[in-house]
Amino acid sequence: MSSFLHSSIAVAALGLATTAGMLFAADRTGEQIYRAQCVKCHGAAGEGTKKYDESLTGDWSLQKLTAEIEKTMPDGKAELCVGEDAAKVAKYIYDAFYSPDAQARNQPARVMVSRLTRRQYEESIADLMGEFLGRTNTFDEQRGLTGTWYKTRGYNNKQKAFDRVEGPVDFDWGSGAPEGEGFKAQEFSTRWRGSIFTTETGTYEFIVKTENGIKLWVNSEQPILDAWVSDGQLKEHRISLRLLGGRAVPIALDFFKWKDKRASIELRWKPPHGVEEIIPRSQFMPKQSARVFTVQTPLPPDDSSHGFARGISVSKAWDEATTRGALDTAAKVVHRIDRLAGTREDDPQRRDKVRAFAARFVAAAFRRPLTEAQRKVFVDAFFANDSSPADALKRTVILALKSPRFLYPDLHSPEPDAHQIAARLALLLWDSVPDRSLQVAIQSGNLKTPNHVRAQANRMMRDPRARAKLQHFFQHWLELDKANAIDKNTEAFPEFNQHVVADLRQSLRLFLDETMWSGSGDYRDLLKADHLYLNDRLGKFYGTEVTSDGFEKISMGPNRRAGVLTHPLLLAQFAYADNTSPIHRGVFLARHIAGRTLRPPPNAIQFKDSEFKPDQTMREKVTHLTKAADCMSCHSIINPLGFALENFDAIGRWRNKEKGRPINAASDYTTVANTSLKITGPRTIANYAADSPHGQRHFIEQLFNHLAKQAPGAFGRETLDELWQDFVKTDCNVPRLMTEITVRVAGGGLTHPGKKQ
Amino acid sequence: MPFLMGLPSLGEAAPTRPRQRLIVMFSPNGTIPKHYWPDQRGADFALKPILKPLEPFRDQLLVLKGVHNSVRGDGDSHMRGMSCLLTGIELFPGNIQGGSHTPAGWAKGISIDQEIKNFLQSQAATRTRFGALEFGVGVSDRADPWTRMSYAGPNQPVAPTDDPYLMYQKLYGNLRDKAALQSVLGTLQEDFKKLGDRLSPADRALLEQNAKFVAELDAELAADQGKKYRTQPPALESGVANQNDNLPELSRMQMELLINSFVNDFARVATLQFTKSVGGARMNWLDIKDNHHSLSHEPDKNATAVDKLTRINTWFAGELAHLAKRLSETPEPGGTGSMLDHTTIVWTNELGKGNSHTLNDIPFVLLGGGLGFQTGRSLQFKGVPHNRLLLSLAHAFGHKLETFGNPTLSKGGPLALS
Repeated sequence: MSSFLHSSIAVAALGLATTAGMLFAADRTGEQIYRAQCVKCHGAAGEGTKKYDESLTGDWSLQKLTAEIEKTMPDGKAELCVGEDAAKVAKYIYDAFYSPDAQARNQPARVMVSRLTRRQYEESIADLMGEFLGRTNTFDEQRGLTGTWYKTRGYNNKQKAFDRVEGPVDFDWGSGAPEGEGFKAQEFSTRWRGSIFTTETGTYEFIVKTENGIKLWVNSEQPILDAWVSDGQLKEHRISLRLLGGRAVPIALDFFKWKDKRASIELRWKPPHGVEEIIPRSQFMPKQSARVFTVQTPLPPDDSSHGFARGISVSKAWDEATTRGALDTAAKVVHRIDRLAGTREDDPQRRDKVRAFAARFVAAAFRRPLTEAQRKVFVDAFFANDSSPADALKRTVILALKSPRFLYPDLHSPEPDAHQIAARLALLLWDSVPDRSLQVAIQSGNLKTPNHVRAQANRMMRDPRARAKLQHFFQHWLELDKANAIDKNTEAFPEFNQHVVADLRQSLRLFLDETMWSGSGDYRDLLKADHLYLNDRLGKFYGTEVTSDGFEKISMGPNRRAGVLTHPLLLAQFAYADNTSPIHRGVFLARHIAGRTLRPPPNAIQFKDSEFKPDQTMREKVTHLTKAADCMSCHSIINPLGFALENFDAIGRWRNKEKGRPINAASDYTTVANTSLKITGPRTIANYAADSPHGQRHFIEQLFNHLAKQAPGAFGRETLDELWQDFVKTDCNVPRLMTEITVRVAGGGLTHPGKKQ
Repeated sequence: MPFLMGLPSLGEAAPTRPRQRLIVMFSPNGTIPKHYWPDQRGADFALKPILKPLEPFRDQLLVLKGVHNSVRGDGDSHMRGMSCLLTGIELFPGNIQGGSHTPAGWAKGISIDQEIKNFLQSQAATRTRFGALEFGVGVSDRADPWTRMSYAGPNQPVAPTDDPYLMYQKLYGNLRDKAALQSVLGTLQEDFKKLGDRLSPADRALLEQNAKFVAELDAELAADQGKKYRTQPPALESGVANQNDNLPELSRMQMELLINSFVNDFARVATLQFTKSVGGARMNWLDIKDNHHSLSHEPDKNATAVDKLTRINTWFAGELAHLAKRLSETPEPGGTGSMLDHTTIVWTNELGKGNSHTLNDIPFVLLGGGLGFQTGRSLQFKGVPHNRLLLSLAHAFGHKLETFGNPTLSKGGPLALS
């Protein structure tokens, strides 16, 4: 039970605070009451003071705010402001600065100049190089690697046995030979070729286990593992490298046996957030894709203080990381100088061709053509002296990638031109730079009208990078990017190991991808679907038999499961090592699903299981712990949401009882609109979030933030509302919403021909 | 007492040894013994055609005949000749098949260059930035027992770098990157200013913050420039492709980098590997169109082949002479005499003779004064295992190993060369 003792949670206390105002008179206005009793702590416009620095803003209804003031304010002397006074001051606060509307009016969001986020930087560099060195932007349906098998060790075509698409690479021939085709135990060889799909961006470890000779290439020109020479002992060859998520990168594996006593080979990996496993066939595609240039040193994390990552601050560490990135990229460019510039060592035109390429590279990095003057400064200056073309190119690349013109992609041009629109499209949908098709559209004058922009957005949505970006949003929406390793008490959950966690990640990823791209694409299905993707191992945990090899879509019944709310990965993630945590679950649901604003708790109260009676249920413990009035101001939101999931234990399995007593998942919940909602279980919350304007708008806003790295209000106060109206009309289709957001932001300032501005 | 400040404490002072260096130069496919070995022994000897280019350094020469690579076991003679040459120990059984004999894997032990490097790096007085540098000339990009003579340990071959630009990058990459980076920062800062001026004060703040870091970087680079190397990196001719016909040029480029890295005291040990065991260079620059290895299989009675092989080996001796000449022209930094006085070059080969594939009478020529051997001599041993020569190299550095590689082959200890 020791894990209980280490578990701590912060329980939110009340957001309103003390005031020492004493005067009151029946005919005072709300504002006068505020000045007299509230201003000392909350500041002249609710901005807070040194003593209490939280701003007085939120999303409670006026009624709820009034009731709260009546009950608790001024702090410690609540009797000083009751009845009509409480109502008047609440109305004043609500209208003047508290409500979301007042907030938007007082501080209209604006488009803030921002630098590339970490993801935008990595994706941009990769595609910048890809535009020149070749890029693969379509994935085949076929899965597996092409294995070419030879009866001898020399890859001699005369000795070739056959080609076949296969996977995983997992063979153990013992002292024997592969079956059929006249293979002999003494010698044989195989070459596997194809691509491997990455999931998340991060460090991947590749492992080849064999007693024979191998070479492995992953996204590389040279082998990343060269163990061609072997002494016949079984070994694990390991190598780590950083790869971008949502891509396909080339992989090749050469294998041979010659007179070794035994022969076997396993190709394994450990992806980020994953476990070491034999790479499944579903991760491979026989088609060889182009390499994806990847900066090997990651950038520091971005500012996420507003709930989404954006580039609104810089640090020394970030600047140093961009320097390393620029140097790495420059080295790569110089390494491929002749291929990139379309020249040769002995070409008399080499210097001019390299210079011309340098100008193309800078223009691509700046996302717009260079003016004559810019070309002189950013390119020609380096080629003017007698430095070698390689040196001049290197300098040009370093300057381009350290330049604000690359790092700050949207330094306002008052009237966005086609280049700006293309840059925004690429950032919104891919976190990257414009591709060739966008360039063609610009050159042919086809990126001027809203319809042009929409046509491009629709095209770009079909690129795997758009899927990767949406998947990245889901990671953020469901807090999968924040999650530490999910470690459960091995006594309570003996078989819940990291393999199960990795399977759950895969299960959730499948659910999201299938719902978005094969299924309806409907936001509501993300919350309401009653099925889970389970494989054999997960089936054993979650009470269903799975007979097929991989993952199977299995309906669990509408009373048991409700979309992402009840996915076991999230239920396990928001729980203690050996018990549920209604508070963690409730906070997640409040912030991300039900769309509530919660303040950070001013007092952290540790949850100590040992202080409770052993026969108390979790619900009883949490109720007891948060019963104080100043806790309940937030916990009246959190607890009902969290309690709704009490039918799921700490690893997300269904349960009817806790400690022999039936689970009570029912509560009354007060919505933002101050209506009462009778929650009976997760499905009530799912339906509410899926079908209510508030839930829908909250989802739209989160997706907007993630795509644009700006607040919707920065593009006009009507933005969110108009997007919502379209969303409702189009069956809450998320890919469509993604397109709409993109069109609106990228084409901002454009009007339909003939329509007046 | 102030007078003693800064002087080493007398009680603990280790005897300061003059700086010592070792270079192992390798060329492949055996030699032509009759045009190589001097007939005489002792100080009074005449150089045969192959060694003729070394005439100017006769006083610093030590020709060692009768030293055998006696390591047996798995692998053909070319494999063992290479991978046991500096390790003195057998190869693991393995999956790499030679032209004859059993297949084999990597060597079972460390090579003498790496052993000496580790010894030097273990002491503050002799520790350098890299310890050892492995140069190659036209090695090919295969990794197998024919291409590796240096080993960091059992099953741990050390790859030589045969691209001088890559070696330059390794030695001076930081320096070049810094120079390139520094050269763009002025333009960058102006651009930050120009773009920032267009923005509202709120937005400008972010760009100004960024520009401040750029200015800091500029200042750091400027401060860093004060730390100069003893000598600047050599100016390499640009764009010399790593291919057969460029071997003479590549050889000289690598030598310049080698000497340069010695002057800057980046390392005290180096290897310089021409091609590889079974190397098949076509020396068009000598008007020899044949593959070196194929030629080496020709019988003794093929006079044309013998002539060509003699010229090929003479060319390698010429490269050695050039290296020695460059070292002799370079004053020992902070010391007396030339760098050659403080360096011993060991020129060797994986075979005694190409067409017999013998591992007896491995061509060993030592040149230079680094190890304090008594030079200006031609010695003829009676078939001693080369492990004993490897031991002599270590002992000359003060590394008193009792055995090296196969202990049985180390019997008798280091050869007396001093």
